[in-house]
Amino acid sequence: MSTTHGISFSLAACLLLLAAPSLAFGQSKGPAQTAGEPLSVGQDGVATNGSANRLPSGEEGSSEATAQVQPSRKGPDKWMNARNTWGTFNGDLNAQKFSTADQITPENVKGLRKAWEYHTGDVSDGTGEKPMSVWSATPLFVNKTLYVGTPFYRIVALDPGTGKEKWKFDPHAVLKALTQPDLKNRGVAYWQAENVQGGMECQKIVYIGTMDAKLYAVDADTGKSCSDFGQHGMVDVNQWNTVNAKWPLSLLQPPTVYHDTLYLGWAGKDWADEQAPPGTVFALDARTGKLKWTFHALDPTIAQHSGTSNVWASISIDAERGLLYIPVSSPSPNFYGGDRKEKIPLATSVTALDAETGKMVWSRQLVHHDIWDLDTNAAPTLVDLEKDGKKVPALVQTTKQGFLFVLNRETGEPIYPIEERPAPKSDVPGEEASPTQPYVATPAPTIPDKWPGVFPLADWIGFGSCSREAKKLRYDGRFTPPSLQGTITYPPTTGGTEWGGGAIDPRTGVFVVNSSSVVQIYRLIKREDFKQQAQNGESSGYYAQEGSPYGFKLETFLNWAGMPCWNPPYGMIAAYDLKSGKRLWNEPFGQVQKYGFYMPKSWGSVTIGAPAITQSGLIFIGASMDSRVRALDLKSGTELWSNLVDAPAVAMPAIYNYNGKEYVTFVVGGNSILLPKVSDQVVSFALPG
Amino acid sequence: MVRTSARPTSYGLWVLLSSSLAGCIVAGIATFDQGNGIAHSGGAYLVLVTTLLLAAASLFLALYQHKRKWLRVVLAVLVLFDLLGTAFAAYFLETPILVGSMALGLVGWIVYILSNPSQNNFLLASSRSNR
Repeated sequence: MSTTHGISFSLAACLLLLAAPSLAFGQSKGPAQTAGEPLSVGQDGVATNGSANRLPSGEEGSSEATAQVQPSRKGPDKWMNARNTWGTFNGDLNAQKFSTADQITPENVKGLRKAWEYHTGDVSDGTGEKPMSVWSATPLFVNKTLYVGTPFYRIVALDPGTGKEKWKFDPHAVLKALTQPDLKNRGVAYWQAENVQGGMECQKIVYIGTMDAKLYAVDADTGKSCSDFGQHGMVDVNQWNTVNAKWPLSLLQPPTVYHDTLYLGWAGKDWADEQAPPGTVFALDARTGKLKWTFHALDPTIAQHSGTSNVWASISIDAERGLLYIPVSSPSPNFYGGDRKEKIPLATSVTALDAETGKMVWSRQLVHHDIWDLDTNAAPTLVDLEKDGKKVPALVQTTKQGFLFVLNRETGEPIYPIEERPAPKSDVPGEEASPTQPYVATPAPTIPDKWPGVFPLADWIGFGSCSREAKKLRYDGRFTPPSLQGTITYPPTTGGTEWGGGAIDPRTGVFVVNSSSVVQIYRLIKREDFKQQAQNGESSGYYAQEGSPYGFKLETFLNWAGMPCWNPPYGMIAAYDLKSGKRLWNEPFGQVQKYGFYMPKSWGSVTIGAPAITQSGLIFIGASMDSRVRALDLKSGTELWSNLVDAPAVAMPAIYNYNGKEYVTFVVGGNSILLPKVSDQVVSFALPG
Repeated sequence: MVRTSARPTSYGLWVLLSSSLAGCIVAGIATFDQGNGIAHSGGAYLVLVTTLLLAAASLFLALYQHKRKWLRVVLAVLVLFDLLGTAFAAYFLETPILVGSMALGLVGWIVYILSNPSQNNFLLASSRSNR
């Protein structure tokens, strides 16, 4: 029903009631996820690729150069280094998500108004032939244009001040859920030649990937295909998918661009198979698409009976040092490691590579023998910290565990201590959980160490089902392994901090990060029982892990009404002073919305997306379930402004100055993990006048 | 034409009816106006239905003040539940105008009950008979 018709209907119904007495009474009738250990591992968990530890080509942690490696050129690209650009998925290569824009301040942000709105038309709620769309694209502001990738894998170029369409590129991509359950896109990437030749095409290029592993390059000024790139402007990355190639290497995350090279990870089909394509990072020539080098996170012998440990999230780069920082995910199968008991030191790690050669410089594993799917899922934020009177080159790695790993980015050594704490044993036949796991006490984890306990209101509404279920389940604290009886997992695969990571004010070292407090039940099911359940038609929440002795059931701990069985808050946003490691503030963020009803603000919301910080002391963020975008005070976390948008804004905003005016632009796409509410809205906010 | 009296009872009922009709319109807009955050949600449809029922019940009470006493008593009680329930739902739907409408309706309901306890308020009536 359209809005107009709907309102007309209700007005008519009300008026009808007024007329009803003489008529009636007169007669007296009364409702994937995506899926990566080093060579020589020291006792402190850091692995380096020193000369004593070099491996032959093709082994884990190794790289293969397939084209002539260019002489080392350090330092950022000129266009990237421009003061007023938002030229990458994370704003810049350091993944700081920091804008120097200062027109909008804590004092005047209340006057922020919608400047323009654009609808791409590329949206699907999943009820038709197309799968549901999930849109988390950061708009790029560069080349005096706003570039947006859509979940139908089209590129739209917009005027940054008016939202007027400049051009549109359609690769006519396959719109099928080949790996992920939804049509996903996290945006586009931009490259520009060091010395742009006037009148020549494709001196500036925009790239977009597709779910079926095709990478397209188009001219940034005209939207026309760059014929020199691959075959008629397209590189099929799946040509390098040669091991356990059960599904394509989906290019949902835009490439990272540095100098004349594109760095590519990929996303896959999680939880389906024991054997899966092994994690490989590709470096391609930005002009031609030719393969420069590949990096292997898994040893070929392990890849024979495992897979993934891929890089599906964004990548950050230290342009001065020429180092690439990759967040490596967990190996397959994700929830049972009995068939992969070897050390896989690059899995669930943050790893530094030489950007020119792909050779590993160091790696630090963040979860040992990961059987919880706790992928390292965000690009680490790079920042120089003043500590004890010295400038320390640091990186901050957010995690699903809720730990903030603050490391020296040159060496991988911790700036704040990482302890190895005892972890619970597995009681599943065949499984051997790691006896210890890394633990970070400072900075304080973004989520509590213990699960929040049964929420009395949810238990009461559920007639005691929450507490009854909780008593039946296994829970021995963090890293309780999946079990046959069912395990309360906290944090689970959707908990802690998601792929957006955090933002930092590089001048002060204040780091802001949002997090989710989610409880899920992990249950392994013997293969024969799993087959029986499949025959009985049970499918929702069941994942095969085909090839392993156990299938898997994943369920969020809810009562019959869909209410979380655990105590709120469900989402927080916190600020940390990374110079001291102290948490400055920690506030519930967003609101849960269910059936249209907004839950109390003190409960917070599960969030997907990330904050961006401005020089004037503001935090801009969407991310929450309640379809609102907000501005917060960096000093206190107080909400200063909010605006309703068409769906949860699960992408990071782009912040830029254009023609003397500061714009904050959000892509509003929604995510099925939060709500079955989707949109194709691009909306920009600015001060009036 | 239905004749109505101009006693406080009537004033209370007309206030109740007016606020329920206003609530009905607000709920309709909330349900169908895209972009308000709750359009087409279960909660919005719920308050649309409850305000329509409220309007119908208020209208009945206003127009038939001297007939079917038992039905008016039952309706008066149901109207109270509807007012409180709709206001509660509207609060969580963050629709303050609807909460206001229901608050006004509650004032009307109270005037209606207090102004004519012998006819309409079984609680007051029964408490008095027990003295």
